Amino acid sequence: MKNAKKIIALVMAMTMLLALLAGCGSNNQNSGNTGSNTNNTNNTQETPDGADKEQEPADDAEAGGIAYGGTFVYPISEDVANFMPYLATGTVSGETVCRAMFDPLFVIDKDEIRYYLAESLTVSDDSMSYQLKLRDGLTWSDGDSITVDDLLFYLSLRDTYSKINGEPITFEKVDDLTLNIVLPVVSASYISSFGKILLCPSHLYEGLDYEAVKVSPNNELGVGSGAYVLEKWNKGESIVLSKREDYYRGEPTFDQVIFKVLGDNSAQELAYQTGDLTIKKIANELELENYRATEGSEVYLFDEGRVNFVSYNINSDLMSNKDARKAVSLALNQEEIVAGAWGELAELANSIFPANSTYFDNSRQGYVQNVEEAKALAESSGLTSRPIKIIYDSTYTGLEEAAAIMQQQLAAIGVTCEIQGYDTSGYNQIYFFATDGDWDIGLKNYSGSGDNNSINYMFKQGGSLTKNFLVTDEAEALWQAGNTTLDTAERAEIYAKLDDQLDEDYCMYRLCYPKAAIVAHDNVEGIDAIDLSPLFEDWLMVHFVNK
Amino acid sequence: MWKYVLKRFVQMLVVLAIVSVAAFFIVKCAPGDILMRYIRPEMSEADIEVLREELGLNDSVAVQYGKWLKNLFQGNLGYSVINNRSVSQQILEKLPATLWLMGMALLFSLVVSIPLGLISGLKKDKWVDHMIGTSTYLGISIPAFWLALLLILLFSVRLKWFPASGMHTQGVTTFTDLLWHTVLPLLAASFGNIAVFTRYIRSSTIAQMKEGYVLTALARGCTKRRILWRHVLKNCLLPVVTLVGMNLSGLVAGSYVIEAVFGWPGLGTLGIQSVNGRDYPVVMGITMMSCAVLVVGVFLSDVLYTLVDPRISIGEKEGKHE
Repeated sequence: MKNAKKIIALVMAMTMLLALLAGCGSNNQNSGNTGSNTNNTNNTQETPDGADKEQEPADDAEAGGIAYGGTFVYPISEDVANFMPYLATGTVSGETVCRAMFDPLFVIDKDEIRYYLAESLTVSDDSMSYQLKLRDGLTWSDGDSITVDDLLFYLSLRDTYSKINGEPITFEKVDDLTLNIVLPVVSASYISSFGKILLCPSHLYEGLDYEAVKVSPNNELGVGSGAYVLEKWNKGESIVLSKREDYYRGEPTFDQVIFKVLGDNSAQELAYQTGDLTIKKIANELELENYRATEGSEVYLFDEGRVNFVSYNINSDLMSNKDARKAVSLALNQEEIVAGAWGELAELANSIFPANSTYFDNSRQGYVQNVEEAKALAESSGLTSRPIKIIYDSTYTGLEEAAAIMQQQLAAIGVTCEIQGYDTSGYNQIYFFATDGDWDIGLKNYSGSGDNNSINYMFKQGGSLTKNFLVTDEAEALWQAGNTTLDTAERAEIYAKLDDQLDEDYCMYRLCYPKAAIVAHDNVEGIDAIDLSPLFEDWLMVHFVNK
Repeated sequence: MWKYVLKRFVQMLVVLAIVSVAAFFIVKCAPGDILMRYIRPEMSEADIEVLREELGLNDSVAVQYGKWLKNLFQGNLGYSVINNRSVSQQILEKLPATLWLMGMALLFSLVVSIPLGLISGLKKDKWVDHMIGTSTYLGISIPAFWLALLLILLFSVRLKWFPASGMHTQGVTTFTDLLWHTVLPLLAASFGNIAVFTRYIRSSTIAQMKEGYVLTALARGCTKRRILWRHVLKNCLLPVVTLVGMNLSGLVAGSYVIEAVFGWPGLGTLGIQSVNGRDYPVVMGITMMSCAVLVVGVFLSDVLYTLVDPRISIGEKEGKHE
């Protein structure tokens, strides 16, 4: 009997071990190739300057040739609310899906303007007046024409793009394709944000006010302006888009694009390995290393246009003291934190501006660690009088690890830390709106959309989102100057001074520029052709290839 | 009998009320709300305040609960603050997927656990009993999340027998395809239940095999198999009635973990999304529906118990149990 029990226990143990080992072993991946070979010999694609260009016909017999067709499958962590860009783009999933269904007006990327729905943008000498001209002949996917009325409808929904510093912007419709925009004050960043608007089909909402628009069933129709149109919405499961045959920029490269709802990262990873997904985001460095060693997959690293940083709560009794903030800033070792928390998935940040900013200079020197001085300041400022509370957003990769490393580094100067993580919703409420000084240091990130002033919302004096953040008068003056100056050299100088000013104020500690890592089956190309933000500004650049 | 039914009905209402209050306040206590989803960086303080007012976030928690309760009495579960769609409608959309998966899992659990429990009880302390017992310990111990991922790794990635996620193959609506997609999540969802049910049935079987009627039947020359399936089985299923009643709520609440891992478009997935998005109306809708099903399920199992076992009576009759 005893022997029988032992044998059974051994068998069970072996079974468990085998099950564990099932997860190890070969890294050979299945190709996610769902592309078909389609011979298209008449592809027309418009270049950013509007000229038509005949695309070289694909030679499907050759390896490496573009394979038109097939199904591109991408995971999203949650289902979308609807397909009305103004309402749906509040989440990453919503924005990702809308990018495939709707085109922006234009995108200003440093010195380049890429036109989409817009044909041209004319700027007056004083940069306070703009004339936007839409392309002629554009239609929504249901056949209605895209006109300036659609843009005016979007602008009417909220004041977001209709005011600068509380002063109204004047919009004048010249004709169905032409709109004049007159700014009340000079704003170097306004037009850059304006170009990224995803127009909404106004003909679906005629006579409706904003409250009625919010609950309109037409929000689920998915009438769009982009390369792909809604074919089917399997709620909670997947969103199936099919290529738009009359897309104005040429034939889309995939027959279908499917966004699969898979909230769990492990489930996404397994779905990628079975070939159910074409690409997926890499969650951490371990995955990055694994996929780099995996046959049949390619890894792409992108700058996310984000900055991870340490923020000091100015409403905290300790952090309101500049010496305390300086003590923390000098105690931290940036390289150690970034290497430990993100490894290869981030670059050291020495500027507050994301790497995709028009005026970006990371060559400047940030804080230099000085433990002795930090220790002395910690004592004199009372930082060692009680444990300080570090909060972080647990949704973002690396922030928890960064908090833990900071805890160790601050312990070296005699400062005890408590660490508390929250999900994004909870974190944002505490970080932005709780002014009781209950937390001392917050790990946060923000993103920019090209122009340096696009991140001003995180640093605006008296802003709605900066209640717990120190913005001195000097810093605020520099922000204002940077946005009202049009001379590029002058702007660059102002933003460099702004970085220096923020250093002097000890209001924050820059950590890193996180990178988005994508893994794709090696029959997909074009992923690195254009920046990922959040997924493909230009879907025509991505395609399958013959292998 | 009717007095008993009325009494239980009132008890159910009390339970539902307590659960609604507890659930509402617990969700509201969690930091964060729906506001950030709607905030745009360019918004001023005044804009945010207007938004807060529109979303009802300026009201106290008690007032918000009162408004929700008032809507509930009018048969309205409210509207999602994420997509402005009716909560009832969203629940009804997702319910069939969850009912299918969890219903099949419950059925499968019963079909597998009943014979296993009977055999294990009959063969007490034999090697069969030990094997089944060890397996049930595994079933109780193994986290469903881990098991689900293992099943996908083995059967989808390595063997390619079953799909890794989803409820349907894109563009296919056949029943066979649905069954094919159901296998792995069903196994993951039922493994724990099989373990629990088996152990209950085993204990019940052992107890029944010691009863006088079994000895009498043996003395009369009945085979053990006949005694087991014709006499003992009925009595062993009594605790199962209770277990099934208590598991009924799982039919509608689903398994958040299983649905998340398999991308199953049911109430579990909706629940996770709602919690993460602080979509209180949907969270409350799912919670109250699960609770209602649970209390009704327990009540029905109590009533069913009396029908199955004539020794049990309810109400005013002489009886051991009410």
